[in-house]
Amino acid sequence: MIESVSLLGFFTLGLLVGFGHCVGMCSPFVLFVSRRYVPATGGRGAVLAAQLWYTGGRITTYTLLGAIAGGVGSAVALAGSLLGLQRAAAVVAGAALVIWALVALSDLVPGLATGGRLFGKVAARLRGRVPGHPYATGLFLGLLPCGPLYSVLIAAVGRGGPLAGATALALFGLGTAPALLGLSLADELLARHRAFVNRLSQLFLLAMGVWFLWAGLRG
Amino acid sequence: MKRGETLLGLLLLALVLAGLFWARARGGTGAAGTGEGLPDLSHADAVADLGAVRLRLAVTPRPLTAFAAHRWEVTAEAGGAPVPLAAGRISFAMRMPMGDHDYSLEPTPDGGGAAEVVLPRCASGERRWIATVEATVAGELHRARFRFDLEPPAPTP
Repeated sequence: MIESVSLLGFFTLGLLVGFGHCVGMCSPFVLFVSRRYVPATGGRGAVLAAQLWYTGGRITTYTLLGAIAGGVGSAVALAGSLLGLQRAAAVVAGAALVIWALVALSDLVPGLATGGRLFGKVAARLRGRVPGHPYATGLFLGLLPCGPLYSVLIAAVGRGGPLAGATALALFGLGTAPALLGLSLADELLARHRAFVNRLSQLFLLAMGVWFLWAGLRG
Repeated sequence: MKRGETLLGLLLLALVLAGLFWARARGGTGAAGTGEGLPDLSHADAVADLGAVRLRLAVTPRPLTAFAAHRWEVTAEAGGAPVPLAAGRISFAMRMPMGDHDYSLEPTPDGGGAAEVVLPRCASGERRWIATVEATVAGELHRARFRFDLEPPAPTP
């Protein structure tokens, strides 16, 4: 039988996964949230607030998934019902990153940023489609396919009920927060206000967007 | 001001990177590696020869897929004869940190130990896992590692 993980163990696991996994896989979304929801003139406090809302959204989704896992009581049944949803989330999130990055990079192509009508329309539409609040973005991105999240859900299945599962996943989500909040503050201090580094960030967002699209479509 | 911000940013980044190395070292995922040279369980049961003791690891049903329950059974033999396991555990890791997958082995009627395991799929596409078996045989703890690849997911219609 699977070794029982204590509630503190779920937090520790989140901490480990946050630094060991999320820093790589979720960093594009951290950069995206800072750029989408905080104007260039916004300070560190505004970035921290946006990131806390985003984190809160993610944790809310994890908590709901934990409640379902604890309630369903079967990792196999849970996985079957989640996989399609998570693939779709990866495609949508990847597409949003790609278009967002292309819009940000469009001023590199003369005439495109101001004169490209089609491009302008796509950009305007996208701005209207991306959730208007980082909490909503966090709620949605909590559904992204994620190996460690699957692992924690498998462990939560055996916790004996929706409340226990929800608590376990909420603690896991909280554990992932320090790494991503640290990354967002480093981004604010090092990249967001430096044109060249910010440009590199946009290229990174583009590359990761393509990757998420590919991962979602590949299944 | 700008210089102070840069230093603070670099310090934060260094802390995040230190955390990354800490997490990877503590999770033991770096040690998982690719497992080349380990007994391969992907398509058939495998045996690890530890000198005095041989540990056999069998998995059913096949093929090995993510998000499906598989029964992992460990049996031991010494000098060509089966010997009972006093206790045992099996854990799974891959290069990508995937959380804890530690299972205690329940005794089986033939003296072995078994666990029902569900492994997740890594979103990166990585499918190579390393299984580590720890079994107490005749009062001594033996440890063996095996490698296997999960089957790729079925193509989406």
